[in-house]
Amino acid sequence: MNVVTVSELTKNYSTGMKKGDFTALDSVTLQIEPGEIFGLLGPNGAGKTTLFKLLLGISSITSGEATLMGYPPSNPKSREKIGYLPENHRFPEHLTGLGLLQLSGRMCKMSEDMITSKVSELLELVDMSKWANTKMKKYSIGMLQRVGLAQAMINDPELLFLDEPTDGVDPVGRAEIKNVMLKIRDSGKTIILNSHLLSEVEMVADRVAILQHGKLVKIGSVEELTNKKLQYEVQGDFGETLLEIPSDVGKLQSLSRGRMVVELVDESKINWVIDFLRHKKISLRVIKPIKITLEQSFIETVTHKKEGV
Amino acid sequence: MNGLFKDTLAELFDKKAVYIFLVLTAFAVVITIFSGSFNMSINGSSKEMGLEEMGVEVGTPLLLGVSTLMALLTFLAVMLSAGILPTMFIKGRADYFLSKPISRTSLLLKKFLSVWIIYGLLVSTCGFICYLTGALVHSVFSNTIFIIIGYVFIELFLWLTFSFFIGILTGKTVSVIMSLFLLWATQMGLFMLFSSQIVAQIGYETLGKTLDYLYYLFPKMSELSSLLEGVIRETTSLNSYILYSSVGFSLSILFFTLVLFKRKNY
Repeated sequence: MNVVTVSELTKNYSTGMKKGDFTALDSVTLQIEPGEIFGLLGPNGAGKTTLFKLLLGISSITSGEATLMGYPPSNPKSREKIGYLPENHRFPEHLTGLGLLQLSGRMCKMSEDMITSKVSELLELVDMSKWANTKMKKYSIGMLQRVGLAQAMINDPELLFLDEPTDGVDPVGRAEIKNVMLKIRDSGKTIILNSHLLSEVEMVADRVAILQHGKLVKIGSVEELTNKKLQYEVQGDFGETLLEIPSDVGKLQSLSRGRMVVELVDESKINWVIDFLRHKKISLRVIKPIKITLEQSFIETVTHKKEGV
Repeated sequence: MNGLFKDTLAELFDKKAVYIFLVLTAFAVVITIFSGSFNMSINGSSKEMGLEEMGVEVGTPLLLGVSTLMALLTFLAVMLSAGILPTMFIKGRADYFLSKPISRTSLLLKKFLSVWIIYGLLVSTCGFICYLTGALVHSVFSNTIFIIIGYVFIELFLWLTFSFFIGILTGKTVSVIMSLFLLWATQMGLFMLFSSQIVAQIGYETLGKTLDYLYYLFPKMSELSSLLEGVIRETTSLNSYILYSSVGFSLSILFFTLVLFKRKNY
């Protein structure tokens, strides 16, 4: 069973006098499977946080359908095994870090014994034990983020929504949060991650969706999104050999003494290229698909869509 | 309930509001202790005399004094709790509360009950301490104090339902305070206008009738206060109509608040 199912989900907001004149999310359809880290990318105002809010029942759905752990978002049962770290959160400032975690546990209907053991475990995990009894109004942004992550994990969630989890966190803290996310994923749980730090998403995410102007413009594995389609780099001793690639196989993009880049008409043609080079007695060292970073892929997708390509 | 109850309590102590209640109560206790006896000069010699010795009935003035103190503390409680709901659902905090596995109806009702019970207990305890001091000093005790405590809870309920309604509707503390003042002014106005002579003098039948209906619809905090004074003085008995119509109004407002909250996007 998918942990999240979204079908033709649309959300309209009223910005002025006219009702529902702004479409924040436009017919989005996607599924998220258990045990994966799913990255949600998009420029500001693309609808990422809106999607989170619709799934968590914080905002109402205009049209379409969504289920969370098999329940519609309007049903509180859908949130029983959910953790959420909101973006730009403002947790109650009159509470201490410990108080926030206790309140979160009680709101999740956990027993007092369970809360006590879980709270100390999580404070240790996010390295906040020392500050547990300090009021949150005295916390730095990084500390708030750490304690925010801990409150999201208090009920041992099956699905964790993280909206900009490393916002304001120093590089060491970021690495720790990344490790926590990987640990959670390895324990078979699911994370939906919304982050502007694409390098971070690339490192941890299994699949990624790109939203723009409320529409889902691309979805796939990180591998699929970062592979420059059908371009391969071949490293070997080409010497002065002149190579010609037939047009039904592909096109030679560049060739130097030790490296050649070829664009194929389809993936299977790589075998033809290998056979051809071996036939020419060229010793091969490396054959690999040319990859781009997730950031490059994201910018490419977003700018292409802007230009209407 | 437990979580939100403790959260509301922590919020109260964080505001240091509880100290204002304690200071006012301490002040009232001091007045209660020292107002019971006077230095009398009889035939050139000075003598400390208690009110009882002077033949003054202390029970009723003590109850009236305590009910005035409790009315003041209730007003303070209403003002201090005006910001609780708007700040609970500000941008960035609403997401935290609404993402928990609890229905909106349950969340709002639990918060309402927490605020009502905590602030109600705070006002009643302060008033009761003051009354108990006076009762011990003057050796008087009347069960009417429990009617006053009951009234505190009713009055707080009436104000809080309206405060929560405006809090959800506007999301702003300042709007809540302004609306509470408007509600007070309206019900005072209707209370004063609900004199058949005044309604008759207006001359316009429709206006008179409108005022009449509005009077019956609105909660009647001021009238309830007068009624309580009558009960303390033993000049009137509890008028159930005024009580029931006011509670009815507040229950309807609470219902509308829940409907509004369930439909609201954050």
